[in-house]
Amino acid sequence: MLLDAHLILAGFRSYATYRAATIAGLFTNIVFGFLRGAILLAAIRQAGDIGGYSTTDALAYVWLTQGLIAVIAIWNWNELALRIESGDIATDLTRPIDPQRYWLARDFGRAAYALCIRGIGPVAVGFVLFDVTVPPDVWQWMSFVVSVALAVWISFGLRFIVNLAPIWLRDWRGALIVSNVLATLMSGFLMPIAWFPHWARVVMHALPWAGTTQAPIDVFLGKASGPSGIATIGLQAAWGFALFVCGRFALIAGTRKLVVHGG
Amino acid sequence: MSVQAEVSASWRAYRHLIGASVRAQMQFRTSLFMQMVASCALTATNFIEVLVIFDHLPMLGNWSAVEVAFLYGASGIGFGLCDMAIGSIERTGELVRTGKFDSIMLRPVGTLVSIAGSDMALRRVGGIAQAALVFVVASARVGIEFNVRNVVLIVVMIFGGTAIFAAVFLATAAIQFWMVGANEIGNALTYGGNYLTSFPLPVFSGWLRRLLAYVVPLAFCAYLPALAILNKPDELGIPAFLRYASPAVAAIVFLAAYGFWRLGVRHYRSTGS
Repeated sequence: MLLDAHLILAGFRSYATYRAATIAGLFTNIVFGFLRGAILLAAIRQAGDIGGYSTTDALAYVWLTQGLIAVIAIWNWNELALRIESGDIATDLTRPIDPQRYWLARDFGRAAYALCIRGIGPVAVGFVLFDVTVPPDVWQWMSFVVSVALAVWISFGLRFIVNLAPIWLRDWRGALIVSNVLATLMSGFLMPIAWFPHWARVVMHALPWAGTTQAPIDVFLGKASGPSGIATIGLQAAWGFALFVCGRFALIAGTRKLVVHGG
Repeated sequence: MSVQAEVSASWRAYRHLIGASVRAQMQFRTSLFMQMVASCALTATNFIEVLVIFDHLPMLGNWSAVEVAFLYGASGIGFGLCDMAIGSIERTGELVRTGKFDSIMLRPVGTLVSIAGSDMALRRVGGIAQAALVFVVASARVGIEFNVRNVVLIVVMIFGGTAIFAAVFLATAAIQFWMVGANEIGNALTYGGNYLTSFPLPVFSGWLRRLLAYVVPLAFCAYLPALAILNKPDELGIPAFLRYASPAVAAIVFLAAYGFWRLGVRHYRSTGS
């Protein structure tokens, strides 16, 4: 546990060094928040509620997703893939710590740092400037926090598997791009899942990507509360665990298969 | 050297660099093809957003689905062409941070040509193809007459958009001479700009519209020329002659951005040590 705490702190610190990048990323997330918010608002004002989203729900949705981008960081993560590509993974495997545990702890550190500025920043801007839906009680806030933590776990589980791809494919770019497209489309980031046609909703809710974005937002907005809230968080936990186990097996299989090139 | 000779020499150098970059990428055909498909899919997700919205309403403001698709397509082609032609200028921040910009300055071609020509992302053809497909279908459905005026206006809209987006890319790259490590700020204006121009301008309001549509003149990329082509009234009361002003605006902002870039290059002090 102490080791994990150290790793989490190390992850936090190493991301905290890129201050200019953090501010620049924050700026971009906020600008996109205004743009996306304007479009959803225009649509709802014209159509009335869409998929059960009022204007205050939609604005909360937009600013929360803009805040979640850097926290779940589901796009473009390739640190592990780069170590496999370069052969540095061989050094990692000789260390007295399991790589999956190492990267997971580091990722929670990264997420914690991201939450401090890039997570809270856009949410603060949106929630101060606009009339948004806010959870009515402490329970809902606490469920939201749990749901966000699980979202990071699921996101890590997906990214860990994608990053192992170069062991078999010798290239990570293809797998990463496919993962990016799926994450954008299926997570509820592009549009609330409730806005999609029925058949798409069923598919999207069942897959793990929804657990990274739509699930915490459903919990926040009270669209998943009581039994459905427990089901939503339970499904997140199940996906987090399933992906972790899959990652475990992939790592074991990959370690057997791994050939590091060069002398 | 006269300005004209300088421009034509730069153009020749740029063509050579691009040619080399294209030949290099053609060596890995399968990989290139997969990246094109991926680029196409990524652009398509933006269009899915449009489709999902219009699943719930017939009109957004006084814009129908096909009309928005027309905007989306025009904006996507212009942005894609620009991104392909000079997108590698996004690397400027990295070059400044590492000091590699030194070697760029030693080369016998201009800094802009050297960086912009260094890595033309052929994969963007995939995204451009997706936007072009939407544009063609939307143009056919929206019922525009294909007379000389409209064809000229369409060509002007697309290349005007390309040039305005190029100015935005160039200006945001130039900022990085002063703000090292802040390259993501550019994304707000480039990708954010493309997002904005895919939708009718009246959707956005207040300072956001003033800043991105008029100060950064993204209104001239798709919205204003599209009003002229589609013969639509404008809710914003923008003077009608501005619908035809894209080429002039594009030329002005591109030159201004180039001047800003030159200023940035002069400000560059290498990394020391």
